[in-house]
Amino acid sequence: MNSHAQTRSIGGNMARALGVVLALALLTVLVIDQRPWDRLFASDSRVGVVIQGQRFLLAAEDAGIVEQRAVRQADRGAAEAGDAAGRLVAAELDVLFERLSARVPAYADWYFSLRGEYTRLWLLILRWGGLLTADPVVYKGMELVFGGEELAGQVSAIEGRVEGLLAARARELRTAWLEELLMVAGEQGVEDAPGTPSTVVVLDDLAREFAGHGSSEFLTRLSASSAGAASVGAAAPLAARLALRSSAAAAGGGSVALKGAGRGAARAGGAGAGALGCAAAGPAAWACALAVGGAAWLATDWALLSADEWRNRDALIADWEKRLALLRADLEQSLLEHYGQAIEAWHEGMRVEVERTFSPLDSVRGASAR
Amino acid sequence: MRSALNDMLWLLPVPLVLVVLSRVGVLLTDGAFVGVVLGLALFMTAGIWLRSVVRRRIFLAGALRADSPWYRHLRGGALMALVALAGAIPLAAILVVATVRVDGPHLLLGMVLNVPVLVLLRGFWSRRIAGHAVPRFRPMLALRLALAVNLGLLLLALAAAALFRTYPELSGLTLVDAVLSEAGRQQAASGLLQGLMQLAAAKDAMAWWLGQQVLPGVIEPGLQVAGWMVLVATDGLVVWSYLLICASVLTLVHWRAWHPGSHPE
Repeated sequence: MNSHAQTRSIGGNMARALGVVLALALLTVLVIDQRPWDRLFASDSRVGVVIQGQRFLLAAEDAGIVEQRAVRQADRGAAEAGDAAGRLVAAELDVLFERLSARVPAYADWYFSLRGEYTRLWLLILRWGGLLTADPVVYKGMELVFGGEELAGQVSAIEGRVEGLLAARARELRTAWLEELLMVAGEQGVEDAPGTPSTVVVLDDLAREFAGHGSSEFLTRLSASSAGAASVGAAAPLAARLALRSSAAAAGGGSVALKGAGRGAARAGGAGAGALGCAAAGPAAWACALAVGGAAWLATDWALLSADEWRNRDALIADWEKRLALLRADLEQSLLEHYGQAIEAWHEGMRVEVERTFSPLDSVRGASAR
Repeated sequence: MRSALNDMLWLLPVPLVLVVLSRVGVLLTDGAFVGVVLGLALFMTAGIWLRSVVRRRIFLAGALRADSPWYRHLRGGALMALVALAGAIPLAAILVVATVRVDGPHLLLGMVLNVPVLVLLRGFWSRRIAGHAVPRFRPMLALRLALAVNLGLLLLALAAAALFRTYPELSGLTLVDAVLSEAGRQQAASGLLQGLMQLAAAKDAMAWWLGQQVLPGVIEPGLQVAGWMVLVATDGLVVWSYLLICASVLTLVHWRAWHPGSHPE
């Protein structure tokens, strides 16, 4: 009898222990798993849409319309931002290079002046002596054309204006998307309606993605993108390529100026002829020869330079205009690649966020279709 | 063994009620919310009152002669129950608000898994003090010790879980923006509950904001510590409220056995 009671007692304890374990397991599942609650409390198949504290109830298919419109807005916004950036870059570069082109005649004036001639000679002597490494004439030309402006600084200023435009575009896109969303919700949804929707999508993250996460973060993304270094950072190498091109043009100086040796012979001849006239000056013949020879040298040089300018000034200016046009094209391409990549990243971010935000609706739509 | 298992089975409805409350709390009306808070507070009062009675009787047993009429006057009655209820109402409200606002499984999971822990701790202390405590006070003394140890354990577990939680990024906001942002996210059908949830959210936002000001010189380190202490203190109140309800369940189940009796021995 005692053994029977003991067996019953052990059985009772086992049943209680099993009950405790099962109840604990069930409660753990109820705490961790949201799905049973969703099924229990879903009073209708509508979808709750929460945006900036406002809550709307939409039919599942209407929520699909909201999703499609969000994708369209993202596509349209990114395309328009790309176009706007392209137009602004082109306009800004037009202004910058018009300013640079306007300085090319001043460079030609210097190039065909006596002062320019002797400065070039002096700089070339320094280079031959190993005191200068780069082609000094070309860099002097760049200094005059750029007028002391730092190309990287100019490009950086352009970037600032373009990034401001893109941030404003992102804000406008967010506003347009919100207006459209509220319009759809106002037409088809019920604001703050009672009831528990089967699914709730919160669009605040998507709104932030549309706005480029706010101006500062959007700009950070632009400048921190891998292409960022290819814009401002590319200005100096591009300008250096301009120097190389000009250096080549200068090396082929025969096309724009008389050969140095030929011009030197002409100057020497002019100076010699002038000095011969001092033979009758007696004791002062050497001083006379120096003065007259020097003046004749300079006069000959000036005459040769004038002739050179008359023949080659337009070619020199055209050559620099061509180089500047190539530099402008390179810079424009570099900037547009930079913004193209940043806008593509923004666009991709919006698409991914739309997909992530609305993906819980797939099961709802599937259920309603069934 | 059987008694312990029975206690666990009696305690299991407590976390079940709280889990359900966490899911449906935002749908409660004002009246339902007040009813839930008052119900929990009344339930809590049973345990608080009996522990207060035991504390009073222990004092009276040591301070008064057994035949003193003051023993009967001071033994603890309706007034003591009212005082217990006054303390229980805010604790119940804190527990309900915290349960409705819960945004991760840690707190509720801790409450569920705590059921066997509390029962085992009470059994452990009951055996440990068997040779020392007066028999009629022993059950409540064991419960009191078990509650104290359980409070520490549960707080430690929640603090460890808090290390792995993700928190809203508030470091870029001003304190006012952070508080308003968090408060604005609270939604409930009951205006009263929503107001309390906003207060709790503002408190959390302030603590998170203080904790995230990591730049030196921006804020005093003491304030950061104070911010996290506010969170720990609030968690402590929530956990303590939960344990008081569990203690009340055990007290009501064992009322006859644990009551110290009306007369001094």
